[in-house]
Amino acid sequence: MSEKPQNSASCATCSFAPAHVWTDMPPEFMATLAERKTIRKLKRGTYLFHQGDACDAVYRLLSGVLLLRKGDHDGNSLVVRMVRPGSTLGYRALVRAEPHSVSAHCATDVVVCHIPARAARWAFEQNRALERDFAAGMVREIDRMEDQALNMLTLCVRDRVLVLLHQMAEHFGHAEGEALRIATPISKSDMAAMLGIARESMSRCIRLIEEQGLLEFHSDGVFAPSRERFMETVTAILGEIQPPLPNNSAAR
Amino acid sequence: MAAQFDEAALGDLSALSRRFLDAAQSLHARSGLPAAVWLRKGAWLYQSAAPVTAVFMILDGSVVRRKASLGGESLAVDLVCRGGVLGYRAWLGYGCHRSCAQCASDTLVCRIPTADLDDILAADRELERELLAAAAHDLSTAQQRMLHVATLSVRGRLLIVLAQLARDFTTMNDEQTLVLAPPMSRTDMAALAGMTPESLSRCIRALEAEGLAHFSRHHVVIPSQSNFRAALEDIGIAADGQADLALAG
Repeated sequence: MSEKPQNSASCATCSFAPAHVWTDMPPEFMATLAERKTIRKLKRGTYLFHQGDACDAVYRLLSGVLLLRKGDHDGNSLVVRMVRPGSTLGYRALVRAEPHSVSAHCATDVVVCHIPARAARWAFEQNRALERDFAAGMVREIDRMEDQALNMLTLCVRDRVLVLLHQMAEHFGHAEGEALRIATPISKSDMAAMLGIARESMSRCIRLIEEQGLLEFHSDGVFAPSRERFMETVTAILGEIQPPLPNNSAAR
Repeated sequence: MAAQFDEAALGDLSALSRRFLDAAQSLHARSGLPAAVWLRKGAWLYQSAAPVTAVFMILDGSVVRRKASLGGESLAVDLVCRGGVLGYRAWLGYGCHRSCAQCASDTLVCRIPTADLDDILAADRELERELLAAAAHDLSTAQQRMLHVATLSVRGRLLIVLAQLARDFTTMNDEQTLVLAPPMSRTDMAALAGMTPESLSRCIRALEAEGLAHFSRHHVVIPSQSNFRAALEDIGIAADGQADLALAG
């Protein structure tokens, strides 16, 4: 599964944790935390943890993208969220002393900071600001889900697909001149489930979007012949609540 | 704001409610203000984008939380009942509200100003732990709701909302029949079930045709609890306890 754990760099230099988290923390605390946490690298396609696993650690995603999948007793599985660098994982389960409620699947090669549960509890007890930072990450996750549920309720199928692809473009978009290629990390079926639409509706929607010349769907991803037109269309859907757009410097 | 509250009439409070109320009472004892007050149906606790000035605990009644969609429509995302906390997540995550909260019924609210909250939580880590655990529970609920919207029919989702409403809004419960008095409009009920008002109307007709529930302007009658429970089991809900049902048995 994961490669051999490596000793982590100092927490004080972690660009993802806000600097104020470490203010006034004694050197002994920093040294002990650095000693207990490790950096782990996982290959694309592997799992960081599975739904139902006991929570034995909390994580901060340092690079790569994880997909959180939730399943039910009927075998339905849904990607509830794409996790991007800087996000924290496992905190909900730690606080509730419950098993993980989702599985964390590596959509790309991934690097995480792994803090064993016992060390995390100790660190949070010593450093409330650090725990607040993890809790704030959880709060933002709840809000994203609420927003996603609202989009499912109020946007038409076409607009939901375009907004999702726009979100994916932030991390999986490659600028190719005037065009944009999005190496989507999930299947069309997963996308349909994530958007709360039937696969048949998804197929119809894909045909519609292709007929409009906005996007072309391929087995390995999605191609926008005109990046500008795609962005303008999504901007019109999102109105004022537009998240950051991928630009050429961010596109890989 | 309305009259002061009678603490004895509240009955058993959850551990979190008790601890929150105790903290608010010690805080307000200095100022002589009541720790909790009754708010009339329709009163606002806060508006979207407003700075978070207080965290609220609902001791009685219910509050509907709404968010604006991309089209600017204000839609219900949550119905917070007795024991629920409001404002804490916004305080943790943003410092300003990302939703608005309005009393769906006359509501008894206990309030701790954010100016005092940090000191209170630093002194009472158990209260902080319980507030964090409540926020963590909200994440589980949001994940579960996403799964339901993606995998269940509108009928199934309405059944779940009715089962959840049964927990706090049952006005009559004999051996067989439940009578619910939901405090919100059908538009809000539709949004909570993740469907449009038009879909809700069709769904209501379907449930009535099945004899599972009958809807009037202010009430929902579930004529047979056992049939209702069986309908939930058919969609795999009661079996795994995900709906947090209040139905008897």
